[in-house]
Amino acid sequence: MLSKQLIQRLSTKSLASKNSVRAIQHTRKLATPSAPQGMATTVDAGSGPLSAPKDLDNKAIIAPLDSFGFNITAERKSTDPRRPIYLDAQATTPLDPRVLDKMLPWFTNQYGNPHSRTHVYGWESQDGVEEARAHIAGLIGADAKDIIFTSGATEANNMSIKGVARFNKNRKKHIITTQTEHKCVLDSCRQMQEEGFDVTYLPVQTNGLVSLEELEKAIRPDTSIVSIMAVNNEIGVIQPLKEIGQLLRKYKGIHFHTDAAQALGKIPMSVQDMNIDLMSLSGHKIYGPKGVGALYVRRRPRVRIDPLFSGGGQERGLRSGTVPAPLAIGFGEACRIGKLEMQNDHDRISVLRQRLLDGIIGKLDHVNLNGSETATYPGCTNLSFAFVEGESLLMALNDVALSSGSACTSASLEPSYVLRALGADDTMAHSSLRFGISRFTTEAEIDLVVNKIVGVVNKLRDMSPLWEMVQEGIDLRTVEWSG
Amino acid sequence: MTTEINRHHLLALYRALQRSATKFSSYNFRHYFLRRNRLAFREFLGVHPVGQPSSDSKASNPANLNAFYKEQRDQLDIVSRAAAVNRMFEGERLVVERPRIITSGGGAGMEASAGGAGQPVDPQHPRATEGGEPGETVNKAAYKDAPLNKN
Repeated sequence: MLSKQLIQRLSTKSLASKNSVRAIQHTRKLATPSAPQGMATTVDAGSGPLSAPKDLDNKAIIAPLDSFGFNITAERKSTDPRRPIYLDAQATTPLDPRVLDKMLPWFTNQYGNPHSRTHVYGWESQDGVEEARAHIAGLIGADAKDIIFTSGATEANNMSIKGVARFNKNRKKHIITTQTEHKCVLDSCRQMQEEGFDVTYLPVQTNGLVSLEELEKAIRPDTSIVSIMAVNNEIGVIQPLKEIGQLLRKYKGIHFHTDAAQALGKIPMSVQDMNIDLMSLSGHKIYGPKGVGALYVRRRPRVRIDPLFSGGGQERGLRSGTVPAPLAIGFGEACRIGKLEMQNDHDRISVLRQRLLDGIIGKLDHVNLNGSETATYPGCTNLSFAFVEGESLLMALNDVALSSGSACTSASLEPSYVLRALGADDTMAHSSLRFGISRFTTEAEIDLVVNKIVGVVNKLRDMSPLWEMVQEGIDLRTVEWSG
Repeated sequence: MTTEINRHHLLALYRALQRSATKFSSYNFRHYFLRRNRLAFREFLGVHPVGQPSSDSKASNPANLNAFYKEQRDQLDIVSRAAAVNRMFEGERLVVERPRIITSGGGAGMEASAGGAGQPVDPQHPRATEGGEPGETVNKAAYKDAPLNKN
């Protein structure tokens, strides 16, 4: 038992440090780690959801400490302190613990610059980075020398579209892409339009797939690059890359770029089979670290691009700037694991997706699966719940971390442009939810989300006058709305 | 001199792997590694979910066996380190996990006390100390607030 004096001393002693601690504590309670700053030892037994609230007055907490200095307070917070389950694997995936383990030495002891040529710090970093490069190349059937490290898939996409278009600008002035691409591709294309290029935004069919005939019709003699993503980030459809690659191979001088950020490590990708010239890859979508990505640039036949960055000429002069060795090595390890686990993960995620669909579609009417039913990556399922507002659905689902679309567009209330490109009407596009299943998702989480969704949708529909009208058999499209 | 790897070596390694997997404080990682280890061993030994090892398992070849053993030894090192790091930066529990009151016994951290070594903090409500094994299921009572008015 602690004496009052000791408690007094403890609290005054920690007062000075407490202020600084408070400054760096996160304000969002749900996202805080259990106060690693204040830990007496590395394992904080008294932390977590059951400890005393962190925002109480410092003096009011007289935490019983056992002889090891552990805080063993066992009080529940008043509000539910538990974290929601994560079903947003398209926004980002958790870092695989094995990847973190691989990265830690490069964050601590082996801090050399991989481009240093004169000492062991540099050599070992270079070896690590080259090994990672080989793992990444191995996952997409490429040669290690074809891989350029970037800061992420956004940079890789920018580099490909702007780089190829600008390099060929004297002869070729045309770019082809699709309406359902990621924002960074569409925005790069818009930028190129301002620089005087013509851009064709191909429409997609109602299942989200691009039509090969449409693509062939859009090709012009001055087309320099065609950019079509592998797996869509909102609806998960897999584009027929092999067929597109074969088609484009017939036309000389057209470069085929694909944004494979969502496909890497999830479906088999091969740059040789698919005749891909440039491929954008991202680390944090395959359980790797954030802040690193790569661009595959074909060397035979050589694809020439105008670099975005000028500088020291690293990465074959295409991307100057020091390669972040720990991140690149983590990305490589994530690819190595991804190659080993791809089949297992895919089987597992397919089972979970079926469980999700059976649960939701079995219990609710008027649920629409957006995108193709067959050519789809099972880890990304986009459902629309008719007569329910997507945002209110998300608000009510505070136990589940879900998104209504891609992370960059979900902040706006605009319906997803991807769903509109599929021909979905605005109301359906407004009521969509994207379920991202990762290798770490469990059956219990799927069951929980099914229960929650069914409950919330039923509740919201019970409140909705539209739903009442539908139940009475009124076709909403025939209603003349006044005002 | 090396001894041949036998059933006991493999079982011990398997148990050690599963034990280190339970030490992740993150629910998802814990479950993933438990499942993954089980899968890896079953696949290697040719054990189907129900039944005996099949005779054509990869384990019958000593070279395969040594490679597998080494691979899983490395995996054990990685998983134990990763679990330790994961515990250091432990976050709040997920809504799918059963609430688990940390008891004061042992003082050796969450995994020791939750395993049943400690005494209940509140003897009046022993149910609150009911810890779950790593294979927890959804606690239906915890979600009774979910408005399941249909079905």
